[in-house]
Amino acid sequence: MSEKGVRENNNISRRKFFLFFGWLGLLSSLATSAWGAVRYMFPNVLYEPSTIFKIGKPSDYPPNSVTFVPDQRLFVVRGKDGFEGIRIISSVCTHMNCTPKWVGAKNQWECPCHGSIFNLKGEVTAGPAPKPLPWYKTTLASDGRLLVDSKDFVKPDYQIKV
Amino acid sequence: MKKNRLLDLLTNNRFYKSVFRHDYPDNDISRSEVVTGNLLLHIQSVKVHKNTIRTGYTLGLGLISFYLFVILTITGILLMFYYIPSLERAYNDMKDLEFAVSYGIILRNLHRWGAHGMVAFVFLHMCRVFYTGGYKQPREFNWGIGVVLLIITLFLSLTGYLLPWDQLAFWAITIVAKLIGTVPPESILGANLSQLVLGGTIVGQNALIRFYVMHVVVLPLVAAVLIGVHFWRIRKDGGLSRPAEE
Repeated sequence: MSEKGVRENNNISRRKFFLFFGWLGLLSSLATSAWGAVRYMFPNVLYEPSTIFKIGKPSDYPPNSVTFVPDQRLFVVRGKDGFEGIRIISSVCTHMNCTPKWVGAKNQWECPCHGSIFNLKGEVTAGPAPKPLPWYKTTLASDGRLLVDSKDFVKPDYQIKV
Repeated sequence: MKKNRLLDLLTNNRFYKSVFRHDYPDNDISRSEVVTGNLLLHIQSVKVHKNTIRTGYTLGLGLISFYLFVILTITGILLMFYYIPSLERAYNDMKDLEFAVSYGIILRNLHRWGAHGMVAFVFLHMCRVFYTGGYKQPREFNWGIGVVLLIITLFLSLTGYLLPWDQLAFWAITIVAKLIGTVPPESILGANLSQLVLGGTIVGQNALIRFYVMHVVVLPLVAAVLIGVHFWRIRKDGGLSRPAEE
């Protein structure tokens, strides 16, 4: 190599030097822009309903009953399965997020979409559902209404005594 | 010339050849194939006159306008993921983009300044073409397309101006609507034109959605097609205008 601009001990010509840093600059600016665009797609503020919410008063739910609350997608279970108090269970099927229907005659929830069946404990007894229906932690708010935290799962024996 | 081994590994395989349809451009034939065999580059001629690449003559103003159009398209699509053109949401979504969404403020300002820049550079490009006599035969038709593109750019700027739904936007479009309403004869043409633009008699929800649809679909589509024709005509009309042989 007898090209001009080539140094004696390392074979990096001026052209190669600028090519390298040119590509480095271009690619890193593209990469950071792409990262910014991906990060942009994940919002920092959500305008969704709170996962902690109030439903009716305990007296709204008669003893030994299962009441469907469609807006918050849950069942209020009062009595049943040897318990006295009120317990709250999700009405979102763990398979594909459909809504299982309470069938009082058989004491079980049946999902219309793919046939999953959940017993009174919320456990899967048939169908493709991979997990039992979760029970929600519930407290009594100061105004006498039930306060449900749909992100806080509890065991089936967690109950509010009435 | 000895090929780099890494380069050979990357280019001398079935995948590379299926994508690029030509060998690595290290000889004149494959170098010309780079241009003729590529969707984005074939709009250029394989060889250009020496004076064409004199940047001082055109100042790259047309290309800058095009780059701004590309930037505006990319940032505009991203902004559309958060912006909802409703009276309740529009202003709040714009504020969310500024204060709550990661990198939202960069995208919004890129779009905003890019839009101002595009109006400026399209105008400057037009001035350059005028002062270098680039509108003369055989380029009269392309000058005409350019004029239409300038008007589309101004309409894009105007329709985008309403979308933040702030006071500035509202009163600007209120004034424009009145202005359109004065096209004579007012009672026949002007009144109907303003009704057509606003979708009613006031600057409200109907006007916002009309401006939005024009801004994100109709005008960019027409602009993109005309930009394509504009570029193609540059080549067909004898390449970029350039100084005469010296």
